Amino acid sequence: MIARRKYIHMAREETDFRIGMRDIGKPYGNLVQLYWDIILLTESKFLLPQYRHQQQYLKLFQKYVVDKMGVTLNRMVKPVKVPYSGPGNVNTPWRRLGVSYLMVYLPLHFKDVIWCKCDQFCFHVILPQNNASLPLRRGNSNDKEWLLALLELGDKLGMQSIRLYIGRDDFNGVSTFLRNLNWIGGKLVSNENRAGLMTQCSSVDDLIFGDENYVILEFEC
Amino acid sequence: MSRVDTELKFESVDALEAPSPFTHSARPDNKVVNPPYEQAHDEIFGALKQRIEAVNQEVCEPGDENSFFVCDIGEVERLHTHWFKKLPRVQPYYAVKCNPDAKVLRKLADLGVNFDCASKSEIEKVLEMGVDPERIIYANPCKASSFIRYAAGARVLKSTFDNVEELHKIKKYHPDSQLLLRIATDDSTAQCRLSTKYGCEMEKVDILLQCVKDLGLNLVGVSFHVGSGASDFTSLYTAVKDSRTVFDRAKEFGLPNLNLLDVGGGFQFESFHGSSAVLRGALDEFFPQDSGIDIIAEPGRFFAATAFTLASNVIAKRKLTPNESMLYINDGVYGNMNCILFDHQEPIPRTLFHNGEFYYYDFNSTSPRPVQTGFHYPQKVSIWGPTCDGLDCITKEYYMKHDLVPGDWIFFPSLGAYTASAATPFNGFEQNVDVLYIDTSSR
Repeated sequence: MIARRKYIHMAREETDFRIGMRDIGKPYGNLVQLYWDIILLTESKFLLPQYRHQQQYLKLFQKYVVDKMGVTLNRMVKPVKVPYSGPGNVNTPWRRLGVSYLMVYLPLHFKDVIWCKCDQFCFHVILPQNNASLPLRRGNSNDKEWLLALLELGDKLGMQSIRLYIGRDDFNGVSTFLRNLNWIGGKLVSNENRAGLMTQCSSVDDLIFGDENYVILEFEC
Repeated sequence: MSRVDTELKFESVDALEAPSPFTHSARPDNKVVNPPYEQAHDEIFGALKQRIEAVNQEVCEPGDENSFFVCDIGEVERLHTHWFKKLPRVQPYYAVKCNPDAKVLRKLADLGVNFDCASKSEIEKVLEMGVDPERIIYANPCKASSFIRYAAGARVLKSTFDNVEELHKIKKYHPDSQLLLRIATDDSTAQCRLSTKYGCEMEKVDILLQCVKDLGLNLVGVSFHVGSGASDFTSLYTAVKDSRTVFDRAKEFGLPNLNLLDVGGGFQFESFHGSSAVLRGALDEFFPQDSGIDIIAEPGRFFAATAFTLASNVIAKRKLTPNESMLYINDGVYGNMNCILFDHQEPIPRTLFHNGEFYYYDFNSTSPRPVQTGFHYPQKVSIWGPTCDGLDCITKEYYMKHDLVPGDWIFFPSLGAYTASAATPFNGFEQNVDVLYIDTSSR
């Protein structure tokens, strides 16, 4: 079991946090590890492509998320005044760690799992970028169904809004959907100011993340 | 610079056969042949000129040269008059999503126009103006439970539906709703198609009627939407005819008599003469005056598009060849031109200010083609927004008379529909766009 776990661990590091299966042993035995996997896999969606295949950055990424989560949990236990971090986009909503993380599966519409996280107000949904899900979506004439399902979920979670992160590679697959955006109450959200971020005193850790690969849409829940 | 001076600019391009300078059209291929009235060009130009002259490029504060709209409230009133001249039986419910400008909404409310809202915030905005919820229809075709609960709380009763699941949600959260069954239409000729996604196909109408009956809901009418920018208005005729069928089927199901027909939106100024004529004919045939049926519509761009003119500043230029360049302006798809991404619009750029001269009245200052009516446009440009984002492209190819440089201004006529409504701040560029209001009602 130990050897096997080691193998899976190596595989995760060397293959870009690819979705896979982990033997977590008995029920409740290793749920914490599963939770970490979900958090890391969700956050890795915002890791810029140029850093996804270099082990040094993957390690940096993992350490960054774990440390940040540690700070977040500590603050929850022992509330302290958060220092002002200055203007800019380091506080762009997707950069904040989620209060909760979810894996959503809508097999009628997307082949892959949808990675999601919630902050206090917003439900962040990163739609699958895997090309395999495209024919499925194109073949489905009604984008309304999966959007409604996600809106209902956002409402159930008590969120005020939902943000969809749609891969720019998939843009053609959702262009019809975008053309109806006005009709269903959605709006386009701008990407963060990357140039501005570079000029700020942002750490290297901040710079390995970005949202430039996504078109971001927002809906009221 | 006087109007006379401006007109002299035509002399250098006398080979051009200028289309009527008093066009309302935002599309070069869809011009109004005989516009029922002229836009207030003198007043619009006056407002543009005054603002631009006030911007001293040397000493202006950051933001002074931001893009801005000129909105003619008088145009809204003229459009309202024109609407009732052509469709006297049809009460408009303005589609707030098209342009939620507060002054336009106020004007429309004062004129007696009602409102079509698609979100909670739109309903909120309209109610805050003191408009009775009775004057609102909630026509979002993709309503989550929370939306329906909100409508119930705000006492907005009129709502559309097109599927059984929605009916169950309505039964649970808003059983007093006055429901309109939205049917699908043939929107194959529309530039912005809706029925492919929204609307119940005719063969499934019976299922919905049965469900309405089983749940004891209050069905009051039928709605449809033929899509925006339709070129074939027979779809309007067919949709009215189909609506009549649903009215009759509802009676056969033993439901109370329906009394409301919503003919949707998609009306454009350029094609209103044709579309209104077809609609009038269809209504007279299937829902004659003495039928007792109230007719409503959800026009958006009809009331908003021609009332707004956008001016934008050239902020950078990349010369590719002596006759080809990329122009960057301080507005784009993340600002006031997201209609490019999310609508079927292709904004027309025109030269407004170049080399110390105004060119507003030269409606041939640009062309989508290199040669138009014998005139060769010397400058080929692509026009980009300020964000360095590949999506932020206003036009990939346009042809201009003038070799514009940073500091010059261009303007986009008739750009009031689906523009400022969804503007978002991007890359630090402010999108709280200035609107200069003029009121030419008394012209």
